[in-house]
Amino acid sequence: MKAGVSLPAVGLAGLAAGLMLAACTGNIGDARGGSGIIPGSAGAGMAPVGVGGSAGSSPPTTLNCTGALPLAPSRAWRLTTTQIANTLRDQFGFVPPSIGSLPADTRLDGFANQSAKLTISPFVAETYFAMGQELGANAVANPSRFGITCDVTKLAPGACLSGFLSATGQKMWRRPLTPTELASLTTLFTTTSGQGGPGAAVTSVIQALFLSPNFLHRTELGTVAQPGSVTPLTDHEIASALSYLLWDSAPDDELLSLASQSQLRDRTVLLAQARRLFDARDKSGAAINNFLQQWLRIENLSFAVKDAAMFPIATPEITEDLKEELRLFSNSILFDTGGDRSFKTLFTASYTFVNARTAPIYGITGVTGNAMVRRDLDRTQRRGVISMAPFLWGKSHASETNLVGRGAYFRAELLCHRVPLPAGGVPPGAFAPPNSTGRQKFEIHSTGGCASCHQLFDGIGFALENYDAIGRFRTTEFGQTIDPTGTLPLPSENNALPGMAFSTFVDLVDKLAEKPDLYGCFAQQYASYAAGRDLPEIDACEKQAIADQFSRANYKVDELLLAVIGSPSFVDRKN
Amino acid sequence: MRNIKFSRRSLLRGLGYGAPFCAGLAKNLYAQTAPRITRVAMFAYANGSHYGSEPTGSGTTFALKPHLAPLEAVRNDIIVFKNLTMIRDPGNAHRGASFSVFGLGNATSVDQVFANQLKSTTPLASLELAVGQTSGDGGVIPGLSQVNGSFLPGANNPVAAYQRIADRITGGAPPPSTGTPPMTTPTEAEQALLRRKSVLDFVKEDVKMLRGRLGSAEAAKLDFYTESLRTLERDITGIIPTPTNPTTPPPPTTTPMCTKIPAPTITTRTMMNDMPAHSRLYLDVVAMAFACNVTRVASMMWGGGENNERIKFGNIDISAWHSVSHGDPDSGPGQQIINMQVYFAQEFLYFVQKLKSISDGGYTLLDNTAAILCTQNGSSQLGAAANFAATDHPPQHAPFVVAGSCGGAWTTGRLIDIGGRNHNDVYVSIARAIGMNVTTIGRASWCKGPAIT
Repeated sequence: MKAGVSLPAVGLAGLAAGLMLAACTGNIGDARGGSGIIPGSAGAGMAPVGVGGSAGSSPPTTLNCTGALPLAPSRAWRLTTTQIANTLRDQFGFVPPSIGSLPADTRLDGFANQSAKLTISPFVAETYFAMGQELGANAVANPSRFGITCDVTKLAPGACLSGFLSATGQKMWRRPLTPTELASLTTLFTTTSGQGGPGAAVTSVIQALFLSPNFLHRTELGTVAQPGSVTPLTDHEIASALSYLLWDSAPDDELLSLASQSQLRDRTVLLAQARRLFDARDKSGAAINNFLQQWLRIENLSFAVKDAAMFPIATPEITEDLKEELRLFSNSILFDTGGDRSFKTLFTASYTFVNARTAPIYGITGVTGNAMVRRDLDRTQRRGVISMAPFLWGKSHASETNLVGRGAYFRAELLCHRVPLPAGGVPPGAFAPPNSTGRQKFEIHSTGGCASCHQLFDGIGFALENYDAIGRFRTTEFGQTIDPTGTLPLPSENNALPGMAFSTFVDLVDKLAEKPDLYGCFAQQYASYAAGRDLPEIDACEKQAIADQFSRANYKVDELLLAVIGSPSFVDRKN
Repeated sequence: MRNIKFSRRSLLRGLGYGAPFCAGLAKNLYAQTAPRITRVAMFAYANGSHYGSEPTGSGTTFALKPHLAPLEAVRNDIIVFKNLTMIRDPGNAHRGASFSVFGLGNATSVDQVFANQLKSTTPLASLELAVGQTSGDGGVIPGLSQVNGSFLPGANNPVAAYQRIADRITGGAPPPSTGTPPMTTPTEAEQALLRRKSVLDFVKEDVKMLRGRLGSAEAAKLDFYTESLRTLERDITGIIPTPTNPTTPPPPTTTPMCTKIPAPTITTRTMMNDMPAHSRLYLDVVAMAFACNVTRVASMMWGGGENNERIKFGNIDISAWHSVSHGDPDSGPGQQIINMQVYFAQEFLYFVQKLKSISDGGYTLLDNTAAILCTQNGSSQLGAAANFAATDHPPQHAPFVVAGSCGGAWTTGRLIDIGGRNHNDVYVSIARAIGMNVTTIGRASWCKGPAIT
């Protein structure tokens, strides 16, 4: 009795006759017979990223984009946990340990930083309260870091207190405090000093600064309050928008200084600052790695347990190695000398970084130790980040690959077409005969009602069958030769059938790299991430404008970032 | 100077609570016709059920399958269901379950509906706990509770869970026998509470100002934050004045209801493999929360979404939970899933027996509680011989247990065949038991009426 048998491939025998096919073609909204509003999801519907959710693959062939681009609504956008940690580390050199109690942010469709989903529940508020307490204790122990230049035990209204409140207030709220705000904080200090002494009052003031929505959120409000009006962001809001996008952290002194001089609405200055922040690779690398990890669902790695008997090399340490591999790979393109900063390279390169543990995945010998070293890969076997272990390992089951899941994910996240699940649910069927190859298990998808959706992405999955559940290249499965040929209907061609033909995944990559779909989608994904709104919510003309700029910039990732930052929608909102 | 919050404390005192802290308040109001203080505890685990889990029989002569066999020890205290459907919206089954197991088809989950109903009577409206991971196409969610479509994160390590409850248990030394509260200077603890109030007042002002600048959707997020800030508030008083009648007879000698258990030391996040070491710490915290009236609503997620953890303890040896739940249910994988279900039944049994051991006026704490055990669906993988419905992860025939009578609202020790109706209907009965005058709960179209009659 073998424990831990993993997912068997269920061949779809006996399809229900009336499968609704409309769902595949990309209608936003529920084609499922109206069983009710899906709570909580911002238009994307219930279904998961890989297979489901609102689609929108086929961009209209003629978009009327002559008018001004619509602006996003003004809002208050809560900081992510990473951003809070980075802010405190950068401003005070201290991260309160209670931050460990904060759970990972919810992630359903799209990225984990969507502002509509970042809320503060009671448990989170309590944790923030505890963090404020710890930060306060740190201030009492390290007064100079918080702008306290006198003896804490003697703090009272006066120059020293004002200095503390201004300095710490500005560091926490990313802008100078107004005289009214300073006065309120002074009152709070006096009150709480009477309720436990100056040291306790320092902690109370810091807790108040921390729990204030001015710390926990970035405002995107501008100064115009009238509903329906355009409101240009303040310089300080722009400074935060820039630094939290590029660094996941607070603006530095140079940015704040430019903000105070009202320089950041000057597009030249703004873009120069964006370039400066991007070039600070220690901070910008971590931030862009965060985006790439989310884009490729690298969080899967932490949970992608593998069957120990089938994959004895799959130890827990390896998942950290794989995350590091992705980080080094993307850094090599974006930041290292000789990197061309091109997304095309990210998608097509044939090299990676391995250590002794991960080298066997690629059939590389002669690597010892923990340190990751760069190695070329077999160009007939590997092309770019999708053919590398971090993605493949995470997007496979414990002992099998995930043929349908990988294909659907590729279509959703690299071609920006989320194909919904069938309306009546996945029909039941029989277990496939033992020792069936992936193609044999799922070939039934090409018959009957299944084909209209599955022909959009199963081909990708078939090609990826050359990589096993931990990303090793293979040419046979159960003694049979794997057939990695297939077709891929392209959104840029209105999903015309039969679609782009390929002989292997490498061939698929090489051909797809010459089409616009990949680049347009990646541009849109980054725009979505930068905006903190899910992909379907971003205006179609805005998406097209960004995609066009990305194309003109020869797919340089840094130019993409600049295109997003240089867009009017970065610096203006609408009430 | 003390800032005494009368609304909650006087209500509780008026109902005979806080009695352990006030030796003078001797009346046992359960001898009167005051409504009983009801509690609700909800437990849900990931990846659904093995298909053979439904009990057989009827009425009081029901027979449990191995999946729920540990609950035989409390068969007189439970209601088990047959033909119950864990309804969910179409789409990925695990994603749908994430929204519907507690969500019941609405944007605010039923535990939060209950919490809203009861929040004025306890310091904490509700306690959410969430252990194990959630992942895969089921989404990354921090728990199963939601408010207006926003998931509420649950505490995921024992210390965090404990702290939410323990520092809301007020009361210390019994009051002096003269009956007059001494007017002393505020203690350190009281000062901390006063400072807390000052801080929270400041923050709430800031929230109000920012809220004024926002449109309605954005303002709603800040309203939610304001509600969350309220849970940070604490009663200032630590000493409760005695009543003026010193000749009231002493209370009956019962085991003190509220015992502050020792603080756990584990701060690591609980994954499924940690359950043997961690699980009962959480269950003790919930029991303490109920016994000490810190909250009346608790919910716990035991893994969610497509939890795919490697789980190995006891007789469980699962390489990847979600994957194994799709293995052959009639051989090894199926047995492993049953073993998991048995494990959860054992933990539920521990909780039920713990509540039974705590007195609550003239009843046990279990008598005044409805405790629920459920999972995402009725069958994650149909066996070769089974065919319940033509959908994946059939929601029908889901195992579902209610323990306790929620304040004497129903009799226990039986099986109820609800004929295919949805889990909403069980919660309708519970809602009514806690004093809500409703005939539907969650999405109305998913309800037919109270399931427990």
